[in-house]
Formats: sequence, structure tokens, C-alpha cells
Amino acid sequence: MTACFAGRISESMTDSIQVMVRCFAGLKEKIGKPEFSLVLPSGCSCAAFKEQLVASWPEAAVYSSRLLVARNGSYLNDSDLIHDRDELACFPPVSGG
Amino acid sequence: MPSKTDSSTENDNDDGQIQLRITREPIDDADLTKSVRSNRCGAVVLFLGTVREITGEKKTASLEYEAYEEMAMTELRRLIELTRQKWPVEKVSLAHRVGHLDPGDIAIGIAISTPHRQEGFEAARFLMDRIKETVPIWKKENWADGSADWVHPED
Repeated sequence: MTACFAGRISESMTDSIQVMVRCFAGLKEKIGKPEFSLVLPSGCSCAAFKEQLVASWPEAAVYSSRLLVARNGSYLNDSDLIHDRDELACFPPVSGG
Repeated sequence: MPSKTDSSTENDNDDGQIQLRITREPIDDADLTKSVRSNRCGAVVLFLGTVREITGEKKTASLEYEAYEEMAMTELRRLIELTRQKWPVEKVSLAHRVGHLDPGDIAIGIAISTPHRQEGFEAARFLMDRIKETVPIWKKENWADGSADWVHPED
């Protein structure tokens, strides 16, 4: 019983990860808040993260694949892996200047 | 970490060769050019991005700029370094404004000093073009008819 319980805990820990996301500009308006957490499958790529985000907030679909993702101030590529407890930033194409 | 959008973020490094600022205050272009003047340089190039009132047939009432400040500062420093690897840039002074801007206001100012004019023109253009691509700052158009749109390059 105890072993089974411990087994389920460790299984759930390896199957999913949780990340914190800060969003900006039009994406922040679509989602309605500047920060949120998101549960993802472990081994999730940056591209899959964006798909999950749009699935959770269909209002963000207008940006879909054009969303940019950064971790620690550096841009991620679509194939980069997302890690448990990552603090990500996500936003639409930039338009400064 | 809360972003410090209500005050200037100033940073000097390389012994004062680079000055960077994201600010809610008006940008003084004379200050920018003055700060990059050097006896080692024969050229100072200044670029100002200003708020355009008329785009096609639409009239802009104001712009609202938002920045992800920590990353914008990191990205600006990276792009300035990249520029300095390509051209013999002596000094760079750069300010980007955020918050509410009216037509005619300066949104970004870049002053660059170089030994000769050709490299100054090229370096300033390169830096400004890269900033438009990757620095996390956004603008929202508040149109004169009361509608509003976030601006994105592919729009």
C-alpha cells in the first residue's frame, strides 16, 4: 500500500512539470493577467508549450506560432526543452522603436 | 521581480563608453549626442524614432509603449556588443521611452560615435534594425477614432 502510494507520487512527478509564465503586451490583454502557472508533460518542447498555452487560452490563438518564448532573458527555439520550475516569458512579436 | 517602469533604468559599463536607459521621461536628443562626442572620433550619428501622427489614412492620437525591462536591457547590451564587434564604435548612448507618447515625441534615440562617418552610418542602421527585431518592447496605437491596436511587424 505504502509502496504503491509512493509509486504513484513519483510517477506523477516524472510525467508532468509546472512552469511560471510572465506575459506581455497583447498576450497579457488576451489572457487577462500578467503571470500564471501552467502544467505541461515532462519532456515538453517550446513549440508544445505554445500549443498548450493556446489550448488553455483560446483568445491567444490570434498569435499562435508567432509567440516568442524566453528563459532567463534569452530566446528559446521551438525545439528547446522546457524544464520543471522554469520561469518563462511569453509575448507577441516585438514592436519597439 | 517587479519591473521598474516608473523610473529610469540607467547602466554604464565599459568605462562609460555605453549608456543605456529605458525611461518614462522625455528623451533629450542633445544630451545623447553630447554624451558620445570624443576627440578620437570624426563622426557622431544620431537616430531618433519619433511618433508618426499619420499612417496611410489613419490618424494616431497617441502610442502606449510597454517593455519587459530586464530582458530589454540584456538584449540591448547584447546588440550593442554585436555592433561594436563589426564596426569601430567608440561610444553609444541609447534611450528608449515607455508609457504614453504623443505625436512628435521621441520613442527611441541612438547616438553613436566612430572615427569616420561611413562606419557610423552603417553601425547606427545595423543596431536600430536589430532592435526592431528582438528587443522585447511593444507599442499600442491609440487611433484618433477611439479604437486601439497592438502593433506587430507582420501586421
